[in-house]
Parts: sequence; structure tokens; C-alpha cells
Amino acid sequence: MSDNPYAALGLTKTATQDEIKKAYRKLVRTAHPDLNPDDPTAAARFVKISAAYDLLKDPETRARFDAGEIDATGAERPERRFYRDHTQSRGQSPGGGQRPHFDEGFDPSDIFAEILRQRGQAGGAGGAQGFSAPGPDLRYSLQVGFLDAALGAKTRITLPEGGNLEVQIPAGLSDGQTLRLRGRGAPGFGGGPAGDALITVSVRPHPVFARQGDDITVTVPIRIDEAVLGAKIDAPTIDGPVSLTIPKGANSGRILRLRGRGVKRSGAKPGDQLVELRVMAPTHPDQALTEFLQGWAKTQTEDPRHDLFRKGA
Amino acid sequence: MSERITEAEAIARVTGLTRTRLVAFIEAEAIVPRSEGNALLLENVDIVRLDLLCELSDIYEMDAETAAMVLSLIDQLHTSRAEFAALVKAIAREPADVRARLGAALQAAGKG
Repeated sequence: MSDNPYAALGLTKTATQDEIKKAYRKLVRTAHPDLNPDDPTAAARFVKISAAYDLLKDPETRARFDAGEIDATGAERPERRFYRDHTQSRGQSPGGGQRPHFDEGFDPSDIFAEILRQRGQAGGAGGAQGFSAPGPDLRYSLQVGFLDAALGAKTRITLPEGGNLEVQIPAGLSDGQTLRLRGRGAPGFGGGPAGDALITVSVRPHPVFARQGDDITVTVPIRIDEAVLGAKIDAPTIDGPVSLTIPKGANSGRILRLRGRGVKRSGAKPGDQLVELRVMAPTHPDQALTEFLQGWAKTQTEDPRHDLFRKGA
Repeated sequence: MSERITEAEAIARVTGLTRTRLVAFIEAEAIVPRSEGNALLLENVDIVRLDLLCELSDIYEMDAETAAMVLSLIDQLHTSRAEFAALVKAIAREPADVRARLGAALQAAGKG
């Protein structure tokens, strides 16, 4: 119990015997388990205030406590059972009515919660609960753009029965993948849970980018001078242009890797972007270049097709 | 199997119970012992009822008649609670739509 029996009764040391009795009687009314059968905290409070009262009801004991001769702890009562504990298991009262059995700790204020809980549990319980079943899954198909699938996006699908459904496209979604939106399918029967919406996604191709798993591939044309001399150019990525260094003597078909510039799927190592170079001859070569190349060609002994014929012959 | 608690055992077990008090409670019909031959026999539930009766008498200085009246009110409270619990259980066995309808009606009644 509390160290201060006066506080337990809501009193101070100066209280009269009459005040002590009155305070105790009032508190018993709210704390006696048999007078408050629905209050699970009643017994503990009742024990506490009774112990306090036991100490203070007798002026002699009270004086000894006030003088510090005895402390508050000696006054506790042993565990006891209350009448309310008995009324729940058997019929008893002279001339009393029938007593249906009910559960220990029943709280009438729980009636709404109880009813709602039973509704929630109904799925699959069967028997006395009545028929209930989860609703069926509903299937949809959805086309998303290449970049939306690679980067992730929010979109909506319009439902045939009206209304629409917000769909979160996760970054790195692949063509043909199915998204499951839990509980967005058809409603359940008899209080059962709703089914799921299953959305099969097809990804539209992109004019520039392609996917190899989490890597993005792109072909980047370069000029002859950039190929021969090397250069710093801008290459497109799914996140925007990124500067790319072309090494000297780079040929068509050479693949440069931009690390971490591919698809960033959550929980996975980000993919790379693979840039394939394609050397482009000028569409309209000018006089100077033509003359230079005519002269340059005469001095060349290297045959780029040498291996081709040797291996292909 | 009923418990067989004699008057003397009851007086020994219940704090504040005297023979005079026990007779008064029995006369007020707060408890109704079984009689077997010459002996009056009590059950465990009578013991806890006597605990409560003695407490009411001591704390509120009630006489046996008053304590018996309060105990009869408590009996009615317990009966109502038990009936209410049985009602809730019966409702819980009803199909979901019936429960939903009752729940809605109860909520509406609670607001009204």
C-alpha cells in the first residue's frame, strides 16, 4: 500500500476520526469489488483503502502510527475472494433468477467491440458463424511507360465498373510483372475480407533506352574526330544527361559502362548504364576532309578486314 | 458436489461474523442455509456473501435487514450482468448481417 494511509483515503494528518470514517465509506462505495463488479481495478484499490482504514480507524493505533512506532506495511489484509467471483460460476441468491454462465472478466461496455470483433473473425470460421468468404481477386492490365517502370511512378487505372484505382509502380518494374493491391479486389461475403486487385503490367518500349535486367543500354553516336582523338560528351541516362569520356581511338561497338546509372530497385544493387558507341561518318563531308582523307589513305597499310578474311575463308 | 460448511466453521472463517449476526442474516434471508437433520449447512458462496454482509454492517453500520436489502440489489445486478452477457453471446452466434444491424442499432441508440 502507499506509505501514507492518510493519502490513500484522500486525507491529511489533521483529519478527525469522523472524517476518516466518512472518507473510507465513500471510497468503499467506488472500490468494493462487489459494489463495482465490472471494475477490474476495484479489488486492488479496496485492499489499499481498507489497509489504510485499518491503521487509522482505531485512535490508539493511529497515534502509534503518527508517532512512528508502527509503519503502514503491517496492516495489509490477506488475499480474499469476493462475492462477485462466485456469482459468475453458479446460481446463488435466495429466490434469485436463472444465471446464465458467462466469462470471467466480462465487461458490458465491450459489447460494440465484441460484436465488431466477431464480424472481423467471421472469415473462414464457418459453422455457427454463418457463411463468409473472402472476395474474389480482380485482374487488370496496365501499360506503363519505359521510364515510369524504370524509375517508379504513381498512376491510376480506370476501373471498368467506374472509379479508379491508384497504383504505385515500384522502380525497376519489369515487363509482364504482376502487382498485387491487397484488399482492392471484390468485396468479401458475409463479412469476409475483400479480395486483391492483380495488375499485370506491360512496359512500353523506349525509342532510346532498353533494359537488360537492371542495366540500361543505349547507343550513342560519335563523330570521327571524337573517335580518333577522344572527347568528353554528354550521354543521356534515365536520370538525365551525364558527362562521358570517349577514349582515344574508340570504335563503333565499344561499350562504356556508367556505373550506378541504371535502374535503382529498392533492396538491390543499382544497375549500370551501358553505352555502346557508334562512329558516324559525316553526312556531307566537306572538301578539306575529303582531300585530307584521300591523301591519308595512300599512306595506310593497315587492313581492317584482314582478320575477317583470314578467319572467314 | 456441494460443500458442507457448518455454522461453527463459517463463524471461524468470516472476519467479524458472530453467532448472533449469522442468525440475524439468516432471519433476514440474506443467506439460506440447507438444513440436514439438526445441522445448518453452508456453501462457499455463502461464505463470501457473509464476508460482504459483515463488511457492509461494519463499514456502514447497517443492521442485518439493511445489509440483506443491499445484497439483494447486488444479486439483481449480477443477474442482469449475466443475462446481458448471455445476450451478447447469443448475438455473437448470429450471422454477420444480423450482428451488423444490431451493432448499428445499438450505436444509434447510444448516440440518441
